[in-house]
Amino acid sequence: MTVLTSLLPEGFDALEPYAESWAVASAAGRAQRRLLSTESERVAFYDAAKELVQRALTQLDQKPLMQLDEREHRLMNLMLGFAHVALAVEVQRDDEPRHAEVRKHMRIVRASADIGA
Amino acid sequence: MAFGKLAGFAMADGFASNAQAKEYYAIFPNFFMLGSPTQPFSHCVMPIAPDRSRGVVRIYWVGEDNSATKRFAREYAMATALDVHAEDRAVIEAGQRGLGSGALEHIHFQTQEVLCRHLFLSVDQRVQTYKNQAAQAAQVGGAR
Repeated sequence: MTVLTSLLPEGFDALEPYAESWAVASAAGRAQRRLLSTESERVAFYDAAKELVQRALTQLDQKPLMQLDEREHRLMNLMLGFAHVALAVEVQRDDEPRHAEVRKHMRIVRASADIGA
Repeated sequence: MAFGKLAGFAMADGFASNAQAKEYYAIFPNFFMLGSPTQPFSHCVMPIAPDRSRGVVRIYWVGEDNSATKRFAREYAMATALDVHAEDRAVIEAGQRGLGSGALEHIHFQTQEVLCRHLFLSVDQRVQTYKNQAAQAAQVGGAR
C-alpha cells in the first residue's frame, strides 16, 4: 500500500511539485532561491501559482499566523516565495539575469515574516 | 495585487492620511528617510573606501504581521524595495567606474538636483578645509 502525504493543505494539489523547492523558511532564503533559479523554474512556479494566490491567502487569513499547522505554514512560505518570483517574472522579465548579478551583492538581514516564523 | 493590499493596510494604520506621508528627509551627510505610506524606509550610506560605500535600508511597519495577507504584502514590498535599490546600485557602480577611470572629469548637476549638489559641495568644502589644515600643519612642522 502506498500512502501519499500532501505537503500542502487540501485544494492546492497543483502546487505540490513546487512546495519542497520554493517554500523556503526565511526572506533571505527566498531571495536566494530566486537568485539561484532558472527562468524555466520561475515561470513554471509562477504559472502554477498565480491563480491560487488569492485563494491561499484568503484561506490562511482564517487563522492567526502563529496557529498555522505545518502544511499551512508551508503554503504561507510558498506564497512568500511567489512574491519574489512574481517580481522576476512580471517586472524584471528578460532583465532578470542582469539584475540578479547586482542583486547578489545585496543581502536581506531580516524581514517581518522572519519574526516568529 | 500586493501593493493594493498594502495600501489598504496603510490606510487602516493611518499612514495614507498622515501629514508626513511622502515626505523625504535627507540629513547630512548620510541619512535619508522617505515617508512612503506603503513602505516608509530609511537609508543610511556609509563610506568604506574612497570608491565604495555600504548602504543599509530599513523598512518600517506598524505592528507585527497579523494576517497571511499582510505578511504577503509586506514581503512583496520588501522585495520590491530590494529590486529598486539593486537597479540604483548598477547605475551608481557605472558612474563610479567612469569617475575612477578618469573618463569622467566633471559631475554635472542639473538645476533640480539640489540635494546632490548640496551634498557634493558640503563634502568638498570639508575635504578642502582638511587639506588646507594638513598643509598648514606640514608647514609648521617643517619650519621647526
